Amino acid sequence: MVNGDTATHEASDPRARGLSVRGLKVVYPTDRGAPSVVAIDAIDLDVAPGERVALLGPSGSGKSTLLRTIAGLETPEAGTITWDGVDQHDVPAHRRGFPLMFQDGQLLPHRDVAGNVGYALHIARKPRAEIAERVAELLELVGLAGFEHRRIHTLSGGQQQRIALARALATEPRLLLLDEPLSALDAPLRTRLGADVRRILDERGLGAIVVTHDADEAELLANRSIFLPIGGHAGPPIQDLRH
Amino acid sequence: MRSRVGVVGAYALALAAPATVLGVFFLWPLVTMIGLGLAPEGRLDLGAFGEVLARPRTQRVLLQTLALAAAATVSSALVGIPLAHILYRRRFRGRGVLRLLVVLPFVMPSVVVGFAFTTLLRSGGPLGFLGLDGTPVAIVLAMVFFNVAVFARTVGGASEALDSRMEDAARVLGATPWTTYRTVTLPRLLPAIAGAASIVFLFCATAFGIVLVLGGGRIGTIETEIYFQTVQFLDLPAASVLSLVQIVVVMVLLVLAGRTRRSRPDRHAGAAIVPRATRRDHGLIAYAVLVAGLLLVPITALVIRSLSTTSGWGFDHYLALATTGERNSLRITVVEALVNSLQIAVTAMVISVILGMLVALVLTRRPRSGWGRRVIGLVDHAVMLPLGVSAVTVGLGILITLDEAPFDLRASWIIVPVAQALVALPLVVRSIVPVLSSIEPRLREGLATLGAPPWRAFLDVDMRMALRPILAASALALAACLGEFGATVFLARPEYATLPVVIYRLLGTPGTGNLGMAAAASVLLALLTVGIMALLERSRVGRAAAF
Repeated sequence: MVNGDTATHEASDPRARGLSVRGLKVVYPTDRGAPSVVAIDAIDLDVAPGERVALLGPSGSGKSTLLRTIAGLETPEAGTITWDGVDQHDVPAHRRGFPLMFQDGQLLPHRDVAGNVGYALHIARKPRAEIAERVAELLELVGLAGFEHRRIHTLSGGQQQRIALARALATEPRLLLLDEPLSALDAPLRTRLGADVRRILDERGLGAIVVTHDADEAELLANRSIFLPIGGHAGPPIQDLRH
Repeated sequence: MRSRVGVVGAYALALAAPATVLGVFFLWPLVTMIGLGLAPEGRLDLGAFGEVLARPRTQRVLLQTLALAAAATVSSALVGIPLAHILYRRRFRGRGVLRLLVVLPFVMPSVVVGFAFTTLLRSGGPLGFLGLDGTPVAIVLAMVFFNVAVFARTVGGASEALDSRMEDAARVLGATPWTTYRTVTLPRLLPAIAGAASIVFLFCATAFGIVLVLGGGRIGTIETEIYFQTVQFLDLPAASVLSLVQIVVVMVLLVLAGRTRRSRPDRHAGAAIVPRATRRDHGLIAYAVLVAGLLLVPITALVIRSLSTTSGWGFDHYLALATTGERNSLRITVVEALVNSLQIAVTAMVISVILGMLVALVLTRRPRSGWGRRVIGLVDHAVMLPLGVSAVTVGLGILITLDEAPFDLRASWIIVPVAQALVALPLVVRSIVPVLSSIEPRLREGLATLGAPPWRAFLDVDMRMALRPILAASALALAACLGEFGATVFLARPEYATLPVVIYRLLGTPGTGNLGMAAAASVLLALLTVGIMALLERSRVGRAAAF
């Protein structure tokens, strides 16, 4: 739950567009009175609409935790997360519109490609014809036209990541969250997919937060990098990392 | 994420039904029995407890229980571990059939197995010349018959998941296949072997049906002793004391089994490739065929017995199933008992699967808080108790506890299905939990961020993936309940008896026609339970990994 001390519940502020994180602190409880582990501590972050930001840091820096908290999967101990000025802390994950993409797809194995890509539309009870049309569009976009009826286990790692991207885009997201999306792929695939992801995001003016431990991945996917050392305190934005 | 109160509330709701059933029908009878054993006159009197323990008969029985279980465990391990190797680490044609034959004995009703071995080993029977009838060896053989499956399946499953590269490295360094197996493979399999051994020891120490039939009243285990003290000597306090002793023994074993289960290394899905069998493996394949063949012998003997009538071969005994036996030994016909069995077993299956699902759901959550994890650990142990504490204790407990209004449920038809459900519950939970707990939480989380509310994500991931194990668990529960004997024999009224109880009655009353009928009924029951399990194995619904 959000700690009242540092929370500043901003009312709808028309000037504050995009994501705004202030003083975020996330804590993991441990057994029997041992001190809790602070995963991230007093983080401030701003992502303007359409901006692509990379969170760079080694393992243990809490960057994945930060991403998951923004997604709504973790509850912060203190701090606020706002989108377009609206405080998100009462908004559950399934209503935030920040789809999370993992490094290994996490597609539903018992549904085919179309079933996965169209999942969000299926939940929103869109008519079947509309879903089919959108799925075809998205598959075309990620370069996998015609893959509707393929089973997930027959896809390669790169293909699965493309499907995961398509599935995330189907929700018309406000912000895309990517957790080391390219790290499970080999080098040439990484460059190709990375360039495609960047192009797609740019075309739609869609912002993203990319979590990675790899500076190259950060350079490929983002306009700006923030470095998070171990302990979860954000360092000063590294403005001179040109992309 | 949402309020913590909501989460705790959900847990509490899920546990409400299983907790109530376990509390009323298991814990309360258990406590009553402890009271009867330790305070028979109403006040604490350890004298009665000590007196029962000091009886030579009790001590003989205790010793026999442990000795029989130990012998059976060691023998099952020696027979089963080579089977595990050849049936799960090599591919060859016919492997599926062999696996099936090895596993089927496990679900055969204990009365049927006891009867089959008697038919084989009694003087005048095909193996009568061995003179094993009524000896401990016969009981150990029957126990091995049952439990080879546990070693084959558990150790087999673990070896299937082993990455063979360590063995390859040893071979390349010059080790012979046997040395490799001894020094590399076996040590890695030790947790699985230890786990299987503790389960088998538990099953053998609480064996009832086979000891009752094969022991001839002279050889007994704690279980049969509880039965005799209750039914023959009408010494309920003594029965309670024995139940207490058994609970302690079983709890110790369960803790040991739990330790080995937790230290089992995680399986890696899909990494291991199982090589084809080569000429070197032919010896082991022949061994597997031999064992499978031997496992078929007792049932074959039963089938033959059921077909041999006073006028040569015929189906007379099967036709007689529509009667109540020679000199009306039974109150109902065997066919009526079959119908009862099905009704009761299906009801018990539904109860145990619903309760088991609820428990499995709770057990597979991964709470952040320490107390949450402790609660789950407690539930885990609580659910395994009925399995260990044994059917006889469950039945006896209900018998002596629920006999006063408003709880006089003994006259109610629901009591037998509930008792059977309690016995089947641990099997159901152990079948569903592994699959549910291996579901990657990020699957659900990914769906949540796509717009699926928590209940929807749960349905689309956990429920969808649990479908097959739930079906497998249902089949296992049904087979187990159809053959259940220990609790049912205490609680079923003669007019509403089940097939195993009726078979036992037929065995106990004189008349050669009765023995033939018992054989026919046994074959029927065996076909039913084995058929269900065979269907399950073939249907690719997935293994019911109850061990």
